[in-house]
Amino acid sequence: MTEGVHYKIDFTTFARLFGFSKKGRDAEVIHFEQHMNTSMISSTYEYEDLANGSTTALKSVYYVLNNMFRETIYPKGGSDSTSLRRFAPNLLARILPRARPFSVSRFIWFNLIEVTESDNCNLPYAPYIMYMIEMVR
Amino acid sequence: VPPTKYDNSVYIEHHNYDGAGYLVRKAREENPYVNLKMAAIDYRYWSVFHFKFYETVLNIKMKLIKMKWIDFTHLEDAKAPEKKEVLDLVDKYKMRNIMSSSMTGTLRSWHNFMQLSFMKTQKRQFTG
Repeated sequence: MTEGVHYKIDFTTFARLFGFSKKGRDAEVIHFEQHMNTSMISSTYEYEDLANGSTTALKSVYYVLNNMFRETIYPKGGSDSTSLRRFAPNLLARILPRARPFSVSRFIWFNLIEVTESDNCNLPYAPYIMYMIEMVR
Repeated sequence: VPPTKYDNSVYIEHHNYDGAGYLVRKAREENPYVNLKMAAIDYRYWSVFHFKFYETVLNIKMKLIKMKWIDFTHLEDAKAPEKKEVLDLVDKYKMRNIMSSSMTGTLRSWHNFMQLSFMKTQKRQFTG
């Protein structure tokens, strides 16, 4: 713990700490978009008819990547691991071929802001926050 | 504003902040560092709000998400047809650093989970 000492960090330092370049920081921000419907990313599914918001019918690559996102940059709480919630469809849309690049660092940053202002969200990124505290002190 | 000191012996509000979004937002609007650190509560917290928020929201097991890291060495060795595409996309967005254990060594490995994922995807390919 910080033992009462108040630490602070700005976005640029945060992004640099986690290895994101300026180009990555200045890319588009997913949190400025509306939540996408899974029917809009039907090409990520094995069969387009199966685009029902579940992860079970995703193509192999997107299934694996979604699992990786869910455990790291966009962690999900709760017991239902098979639904694409909130910005998960937007994330998948951004990794499609010919999709515009997005800023991963801003995605995490805005997600942190969203979580700290909400009492309903489960609390993610504990190791990343601890890493930041250890690096800035 | 001159710093004021709490009279720690008199009164501590007891709020349950779980599910109380309005109270949390209202408490966060105030700058806690205007006041001196409270001495009557645990030394880790600055104010009663910090203390009660930890006790009633953060300290509940279901509220904290257990993070994991990805064992990219295992992923690179995996015999999965889609691994190159997955790794290319991870490298394109420079996410390998933040996802891997090099940064957060104390996290639980995603190794076993990864095996399960690839087993599932391979099985799906066989079954069409």
